[in-house]
Amino acid sequence: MKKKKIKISWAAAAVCFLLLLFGVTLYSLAAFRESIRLASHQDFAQAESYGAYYALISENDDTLLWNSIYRGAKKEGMENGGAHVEFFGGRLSLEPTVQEKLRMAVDAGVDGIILNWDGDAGTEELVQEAAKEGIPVVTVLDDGATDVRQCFVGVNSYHLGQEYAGRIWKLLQDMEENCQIQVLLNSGDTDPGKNTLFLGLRDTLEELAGKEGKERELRLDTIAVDRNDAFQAEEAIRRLMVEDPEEQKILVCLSEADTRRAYEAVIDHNRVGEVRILGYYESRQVLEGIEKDIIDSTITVDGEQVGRLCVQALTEYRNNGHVNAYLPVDVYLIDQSNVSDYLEQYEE
Amino acid sequence: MKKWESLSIRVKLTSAFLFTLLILFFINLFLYLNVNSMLERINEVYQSNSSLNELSETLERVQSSMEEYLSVKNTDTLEAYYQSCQELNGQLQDLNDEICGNEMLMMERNIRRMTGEYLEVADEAMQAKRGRNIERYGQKYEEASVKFRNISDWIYSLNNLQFEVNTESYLGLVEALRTFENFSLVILVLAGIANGFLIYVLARNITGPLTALAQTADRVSGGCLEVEDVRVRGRDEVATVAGAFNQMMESIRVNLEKTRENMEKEAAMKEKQLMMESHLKDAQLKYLQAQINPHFLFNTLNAGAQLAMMEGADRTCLFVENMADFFRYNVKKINQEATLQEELELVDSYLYIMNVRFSGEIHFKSQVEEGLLKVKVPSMILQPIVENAATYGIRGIDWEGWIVLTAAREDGKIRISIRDNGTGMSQEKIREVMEGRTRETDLSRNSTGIGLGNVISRLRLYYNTENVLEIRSEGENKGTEVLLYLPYPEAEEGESHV
Repeated sequence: MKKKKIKISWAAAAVCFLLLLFGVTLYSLAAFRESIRLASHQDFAQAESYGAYYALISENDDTLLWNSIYRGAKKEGMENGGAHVEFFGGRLSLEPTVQEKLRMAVDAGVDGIILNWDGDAGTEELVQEAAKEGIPVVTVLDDGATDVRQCFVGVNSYHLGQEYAGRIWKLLQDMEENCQIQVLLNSGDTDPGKNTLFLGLRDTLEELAGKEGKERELRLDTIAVDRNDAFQAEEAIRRLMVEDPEEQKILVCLSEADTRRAYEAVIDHNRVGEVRILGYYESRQVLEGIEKDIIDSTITVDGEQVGRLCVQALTEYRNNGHVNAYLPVDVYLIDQSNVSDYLEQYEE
Repeated sequence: MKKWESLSIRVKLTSAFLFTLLILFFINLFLYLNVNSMLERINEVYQSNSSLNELSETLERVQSSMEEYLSVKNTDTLEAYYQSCQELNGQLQDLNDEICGNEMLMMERNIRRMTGEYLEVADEAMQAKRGRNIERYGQKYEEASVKFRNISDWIYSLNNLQFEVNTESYLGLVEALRTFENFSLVILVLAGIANGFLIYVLARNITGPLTALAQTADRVSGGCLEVEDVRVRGRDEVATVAGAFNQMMESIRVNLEKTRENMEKEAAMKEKQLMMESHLKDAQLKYLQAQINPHFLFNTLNAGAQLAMMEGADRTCLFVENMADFFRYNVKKINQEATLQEELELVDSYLYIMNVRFSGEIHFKSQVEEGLLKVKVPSMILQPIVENAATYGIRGIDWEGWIVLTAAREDGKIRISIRDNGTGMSQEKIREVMEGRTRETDLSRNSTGIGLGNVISRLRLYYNTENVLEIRSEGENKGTEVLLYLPYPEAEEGESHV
């Protein structure tokens, strides 16, 4: 009996050992296959297929705003539009211009283009070529080629001007009588929106001054810079800081890059507190500027909402053959009261 | 299990080694195949880069052959252009054309579509050149060149991207290979242990019975024969040897038992012989007591017989000769075998003497079957019986007394009957005689000295059987018959018994 028990336990041990060996072998095989799969990027084959391909073209595709627009567009495309959205040419080594990207997108036969209008005449030609090829174009944030593009998704410029005016008026209450208000415009800008914005800003300020009933001299000026020349913009801002060093100024920047430049210039020229900056759009640096009270505030949009609306417009156009020519997006004012909420999002 | 046990040791050992060898072989095969597949993967890692390089080269050939043709309009360059275009088209087919979520695949798609556009424009330029439309071909050439640069940038960028990813893959594969090496080591060690274990179990299984057999054999060689049978399951060589060993042990035990029995028998026989000799000595002693010196006596008697012959007394001479014969026989044959004839002659001599002594009262008749006379029997067996018949049966009766002796073969035995018509014997007396309860000292003075009891004892010892003598008597005055049943020596008929 005892002998039999010993015999059985030997057999059980042998079986257990063989099972262990078998298990280890299987586990190692599975682990090995998995590591090879991961290493070989076999997810190529598993990449989801889509019915449409939209190209997102903008000059600045590395800012957080554009990233959030891209995120929103991509998400909308994946979830509702059955479309793949990508920063077209984002991986190219030569960093092509908007026009070059547009050219490539047309050649690549994309199904739709989301374009940040750069105000160039050549761009309009290409948009027209795209229209000929049957590729719908949606302009975003900056509008142009209004007769050939299918839709514009962006801020109502006049309304934006009003928003700025409201904020400037508020600042003016604590500032000197002769405070200068400078609006940084782009010289080659064919975007009629910018002019509309300026109009809205001026009208509202005058209206507010009129309401108050007292005569106040409004020194509202524009500075034109060539947006294609980054150095020129910086130079213009530097000049602004250097000129009239004793004067208080309000500087309205109408791009995120200009806002950053102004922020750096104020610090460099030690004009913090004297030059109040009103920015446009957001970035970490801009938000940090607001937090440090170097930038007064910035007006921004919900990037993801913008992206979503762009894809919705393209999808609607592709499905129905028509779409609203203008889809407005909401604007938000970020100042010291709410900047921490936005910074939190950036930290995420 | 039963099937395994029935295998021979050679097959078992071969199977064990083959089995473990197979385990190692399959594990090695498994490792080899996996390493092989991994090496293939590593080789394929930069395959996509290589394909893109080829694509880029072909594209450049198309562009350069187009430029060449546009500038020199050479047939060879036209041919080279078409050939490159064909090649390029072939290579484009390998690129992805589906819309999907993968960035690189989408780049492939863009390259494919853009190259398609480029080829169209290039064709238009070539057509314009052939149609001598200078303005158009110049314009198309410019367009094609822009597209060519764009595509080259895409290919270059995709190549870079793929190189990054492929390098990542390569490093991942190398890492996987290292991990796999560790796993392989673990598997090999485990397989080694498992194999060792398996071989141990199998060897134990195979040699276990052999060890048990060796231990038992050791105990046996140490002198302990009382060992249990070696139990070996299966039908292999060890089982055969164990079976043979068990059988051998059984045979040894049986032989020992037989030897012991034989020794006991031999001892009994020796004892019997000693007893027989003791009886003979006893008889001899009795004779010596009865006749002080038989040699002297029968020599004297011979001298008497010669004297009687010289004096012409023939009857006296015959009488004395018979007496001399009788005593000579006693002296000579007392411890030897004698033939039945010699025994009969002794009886004749005895009765002659007795008849002379007692005036011819006893009539004796013998009837012996031919061939029995030479049969050897213990000496001095008939005379005492006859003497008994004469002394206790016939003497004193008032009718004519006779004794009849017959000897014949019956049921493979010699049946000797000595019958008298004397006073007979009671059943009580017969039982006493047969059981040896009569006292030899009861012998009369006329006796030769050997009683019936002595005869019975000697016959029983000699023939090793109890039923050798029977006494029958129908009652008083109805005579007595003594029957001897002597084994007939079949093998040595007519010769001595032993």
